[in-house]
Amino acid sequence: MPKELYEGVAVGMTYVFLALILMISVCAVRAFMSERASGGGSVTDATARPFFGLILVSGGDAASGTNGAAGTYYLAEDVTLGRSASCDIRIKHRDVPQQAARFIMEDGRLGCYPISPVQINGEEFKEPVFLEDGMALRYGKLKLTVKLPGSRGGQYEED
Amino acid sequence: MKKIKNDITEESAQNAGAERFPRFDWNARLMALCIAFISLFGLLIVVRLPSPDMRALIITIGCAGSIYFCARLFPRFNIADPLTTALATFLGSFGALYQYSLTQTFGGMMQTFFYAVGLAVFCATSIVTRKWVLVPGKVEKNRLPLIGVSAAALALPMVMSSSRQWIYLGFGGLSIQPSELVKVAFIIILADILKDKKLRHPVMVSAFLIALFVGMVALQNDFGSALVYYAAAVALVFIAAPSLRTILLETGVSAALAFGAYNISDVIQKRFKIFTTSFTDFTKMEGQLSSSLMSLANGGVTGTGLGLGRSGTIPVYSTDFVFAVVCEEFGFVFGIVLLFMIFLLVWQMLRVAGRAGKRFHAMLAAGCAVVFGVQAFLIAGGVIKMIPLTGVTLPFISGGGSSLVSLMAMCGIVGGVSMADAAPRRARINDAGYTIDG
Repeated sequence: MPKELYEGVAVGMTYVFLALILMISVCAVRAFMSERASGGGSVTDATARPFFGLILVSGGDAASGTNGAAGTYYLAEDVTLGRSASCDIRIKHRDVPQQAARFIMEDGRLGCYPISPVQINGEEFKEPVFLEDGMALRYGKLKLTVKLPGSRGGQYEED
Repeated sequence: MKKIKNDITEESAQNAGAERFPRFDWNARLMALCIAFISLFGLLIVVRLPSPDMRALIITIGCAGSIYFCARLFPRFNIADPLTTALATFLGSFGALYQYSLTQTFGGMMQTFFYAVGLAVFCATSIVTRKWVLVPGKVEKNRLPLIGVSAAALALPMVMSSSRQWIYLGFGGLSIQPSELVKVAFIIILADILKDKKLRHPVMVSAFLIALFVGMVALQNDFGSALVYYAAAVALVFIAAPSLRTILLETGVSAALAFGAYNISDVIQKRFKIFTTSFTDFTKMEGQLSSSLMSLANGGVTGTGLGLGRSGTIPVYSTDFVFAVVCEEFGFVFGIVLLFMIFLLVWQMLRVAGRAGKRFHAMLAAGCAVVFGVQAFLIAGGVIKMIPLTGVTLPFISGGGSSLVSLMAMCGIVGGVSMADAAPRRARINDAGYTIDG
């Protein structure tokens, strides 16, 4: 690029860089405030959060090697569930949609907001629904049982 | 089968959704903006010369890729703190590109090389921290070898070379500065000593260690680094025993040390003299500071444009005075935002420390945060003539491979700590008990 042209471009670009870095810092502040983790797992305040409940994942077939998804996951005040890395509860199983559902604790009750249609106790749900202890969500071969505190004599207390 | 009573009405669902559902992933936006910034910045360097600069193009692609790698791909194996990762990779990429744009020679590419090494070290330390450092007893067992190797590394430049700070490698004019690399080990060692309840004389042992390391760095005439070491030690001691007595003790010891060091060392006296007489004598060191201030004034609010500053007039423009050069070329608003991002990085690290489950974890993260904060304060304050100048690096932006690698290692440590303390959210529980599945 000729020198005169470059000088004009460089001076103009300082404004672009300034705008961009301001936007970057605003995003960084918002990320700092929202504490939302990207790229899998939620790096949020684990110890300060009260205990809300558990999701027990069972099923899956050993033949295809996908039964590793089975296990127990914590529920928090507001968590997303799915196969995508951006979900708080990530279940790596082909039957689970990328963005499956969102669980929000409201007035001591667990609300389920399906992002993809889900079978709950045999019924197909697309609209939000309150979940109770022992209800089972089904994604293909996977069964997700909801365990809420109080129902089992405080068996699932936090460590 | 019990029929589910669906008592969330459409209205209440919308109310809940309006407030909560459009939740943006700010980290993803942060990453996208960082990549956009680095790409534009690199392209400007590419078109700067009459013919396109292919080396700059390669560096740009590498730097933009590094941000994507650390923010998106690496978390699939090992999750580090996302905000720390994004800010560290952005600032590191910016530093690598900017160092190349300052010289545009093969030497300018060394920063990129060390940034690549730093990325590998970042990934390695975030795994090693979680799997080894934070595992109880691992550091404790290897305490003495760790101290020995660190002290030997610090002593090496004093016996090997005349300059006393650097070890010159045989090839390519490369040199490494052990005092930068030992910083990481120093934080780990001190945190390990201070957490130990069984130690018979924890105060004596930690005081001896602090005196040993700070003294060795000070003997190399590297008072900036000595100050950084000392600040990290002060923070760690305070976390180990947070009380008013500790504050009073530390204040007293610090004041005594500062007074003593000023009276003993003529280097420090000279720095203070330069600080007061920078506009009466334009030769040598005094000229550095005055030309730095001239650069800041020349840049103004919006700057002169990339490569159009007078960076050649400042003697050490790529390392100590890089902040003045950045402010000249991009304006002081840009410089302030850059400092703010380092501040945010420090804050995030302190937050990781604050919510850590164990004191050892908190000390590791806080020690790293203090090193970042103190370095940025010392050099930025020195360049704008707020405090006497000390030769430390501006985190990530200054040229200097050892410093960059050690800073990336510290980010890795903080990432490992944040992951270890966030682990319960991802824990799987068997009926028999808890098993952490990180």
